Amino acid sequence: MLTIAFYYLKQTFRSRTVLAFAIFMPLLFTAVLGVAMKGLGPDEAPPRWVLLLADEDRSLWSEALIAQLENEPHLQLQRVSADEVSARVAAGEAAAGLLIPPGFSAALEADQPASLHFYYYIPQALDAQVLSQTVQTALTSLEGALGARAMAAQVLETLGLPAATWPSDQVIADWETERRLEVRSESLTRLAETRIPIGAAHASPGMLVMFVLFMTLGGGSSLLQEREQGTLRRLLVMPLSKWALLGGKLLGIYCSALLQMVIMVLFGRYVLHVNWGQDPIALVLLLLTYAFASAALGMMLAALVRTAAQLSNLSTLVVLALAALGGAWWPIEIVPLWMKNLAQFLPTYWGMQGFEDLIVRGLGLPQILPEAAALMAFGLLFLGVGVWRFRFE
Amino acid sequence: MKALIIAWKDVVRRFRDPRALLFMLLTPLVIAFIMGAAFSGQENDNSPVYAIPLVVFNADEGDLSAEFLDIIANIEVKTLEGKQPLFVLQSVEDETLAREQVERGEASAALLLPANFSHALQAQDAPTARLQLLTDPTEAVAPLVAESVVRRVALHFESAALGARLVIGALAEQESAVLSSPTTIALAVSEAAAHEAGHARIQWQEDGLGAARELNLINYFMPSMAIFFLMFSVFSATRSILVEEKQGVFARLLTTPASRAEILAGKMGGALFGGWLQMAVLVLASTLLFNVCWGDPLAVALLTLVTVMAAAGLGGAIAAFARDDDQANLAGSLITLVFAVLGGNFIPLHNAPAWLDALSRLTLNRWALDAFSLLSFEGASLPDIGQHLLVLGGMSLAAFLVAWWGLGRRFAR
Repeated sequence: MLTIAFYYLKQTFRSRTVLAFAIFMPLLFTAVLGVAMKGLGPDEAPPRWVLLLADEDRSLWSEALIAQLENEPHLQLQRVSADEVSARVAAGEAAAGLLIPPGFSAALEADQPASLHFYYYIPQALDAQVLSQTVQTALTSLEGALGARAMAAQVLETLGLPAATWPSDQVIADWETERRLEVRSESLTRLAETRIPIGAAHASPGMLVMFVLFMTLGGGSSLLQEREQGTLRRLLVMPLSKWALLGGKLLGIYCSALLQMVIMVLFGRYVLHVNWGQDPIALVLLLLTYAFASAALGMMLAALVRTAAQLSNLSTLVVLALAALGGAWWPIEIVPLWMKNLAQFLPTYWGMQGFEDLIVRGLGLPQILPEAAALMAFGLLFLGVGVWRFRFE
Repeated sequence: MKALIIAWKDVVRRFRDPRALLFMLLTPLVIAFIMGAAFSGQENDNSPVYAIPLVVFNADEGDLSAEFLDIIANIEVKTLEGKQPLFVLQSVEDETLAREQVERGEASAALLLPANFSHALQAQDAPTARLQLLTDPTEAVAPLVAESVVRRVALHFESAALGARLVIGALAEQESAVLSSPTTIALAVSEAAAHEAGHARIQWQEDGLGAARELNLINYFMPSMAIFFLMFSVFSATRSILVEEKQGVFARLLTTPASRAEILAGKMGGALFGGWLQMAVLVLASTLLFNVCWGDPLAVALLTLVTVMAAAGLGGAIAAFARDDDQANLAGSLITLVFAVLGGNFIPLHNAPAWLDALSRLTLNRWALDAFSLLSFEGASLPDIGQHLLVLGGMSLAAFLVAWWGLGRRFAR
């Protein structure tokens, strides 16, 4: 079995085609997608969203709003003219822009509705939503100061007492100095450095999860090729049971997947500076179980189709669909609920969850055991079906 | 005429093969559907996240913290599935339990309310109460939404508290006798706070720009996958020249009255017709099945024409200079994948750095995708994509000249 596995490995990694598609291509995809999704390299500043800002009012209240926005760590304000806001957002130069029109302050002082215009670039709706939420939080603060004053006036009126006046600058100062609630947000990770997995930290495990499947399904296809060429039958004349032969081939596919994964992890770690976690044993366990589930899937598909050509065409659909649905291409949190539920029936989902536990949450062996167990279960199921249905001739 | 017959025969053979149909038509449709569905929650005014699991540990025993949590639990947002609660709250008795749930990814965030929450808002000189929000680092959107909402609700409570303090200050200045009746003041404050809660002072006007039509991301991913799989199938068609060369079919064809030029034109024509047919079926099927909006039909037809020509020309050039069909297969697949990842077929390159953007513009994929996006999202017409058509036309011409010269040389031997 070991000899068969060794020869499979040798044959596989001697092929220029395999080297191109199983090694070069995944590394290229990881690097390009990591850059395109931002976040490559450890020294990059945390993501800040650019907000174009035009203040046509230039008043106490507009300045108070801008001061609030300037305190937001996620925001980077860029002052522009009123005409530029919508034009530059429409051109996609920024995800969003805010226009404070003339009369903003006057309306607020007169207790009349004041307008604010928020423009966003539709193709970047997700970034714009974050910006919109942030600006609206700052507005709530402004409304808080105004509301406190209005409320106090109303209370005096209700109690039948003479009205009092509270100058705006005094209310703003009171609001800023006498805060009673402080909200602190902390990203819960055991790693020293917190990084949202939107760049290489997502692309590195994501592409690993996808390209390993190409490798193992390609392995399944090679089994069928050998059957079609009669090599399997010839090998059976050796003093070797057919299950030992199949086991050797599977072991070869499994080892080739592991080798590919190790190269991708090292590339992620040393070229893209992805922190692959602080528990090497947990990482090894996840790699072993994901490779097992993938190799078994290749075996099962090889058993379910008739020819290598069929599997070759089917594998593109299967791999791309499994990768996309399992969260290898984008964070699973953004997909609709039905896709999240569906993902839980796929090995790619459990692989991605396990890798994210290590890379982003900084968890260790005890915490990734459920993911490893799920991958083992998938592997055993796929292997069972594969062995049951595989025909040597 | 002979070239047309050869071309037609190649197209018929390709479209009769179920495996080729799976690859050329079914796979791009399925993958584009998945990609479109994944981002469908972000379309139009829908919230991309909802039913965010929020675990709560409330150490405060006052009424205000319960009211605070009640407000958060009742927030609803518009989603694809209709109005849904923004958060699903789960109370726990222990801070550690709350932390563990977030750490394990079972909750997107944990909100910890301190024991002095109510006291901080009600007492005159109370210290600040510190609310803690612990968020899941693997999520990008839900933690930001949770933080924003918690901050805003906290601001409403602080506003009411400041209002009460202003009232007490004014009463003290007026030396009012009401000061001796805290219940009366509390009732008046509560009434005014309830009135204020529903009073919006600022009208928030949001305008989406940069797309004339509703944002439906399948309109991006469908052309994207169509181009990606088009390149595979067109390259496979041009590679068949080398397969026929190896199998001796090409040599046998040369013994017929057809000239070498007619045979080569037929083979290249087969790749072109097959590509156009594939794109036409994908455009029609995606329009009918997923309601994909491709835009101005004339512009789409012309754009498809030049995109297929550019891909077929490139395929012809690969076939002309590859050693054999195996090498052409390797080179073709590599070029397809590299062009796809650089051209934005897998991820739109809006946020890409300048160098990647420049590199991307060397690919036919980027020019074709940009033009399809203009037609689909902006409602652009033929003149608006003139530059894209010119670039793709130029690429086609250059690739066809190289292919024709190379194939001519190859088969002259």
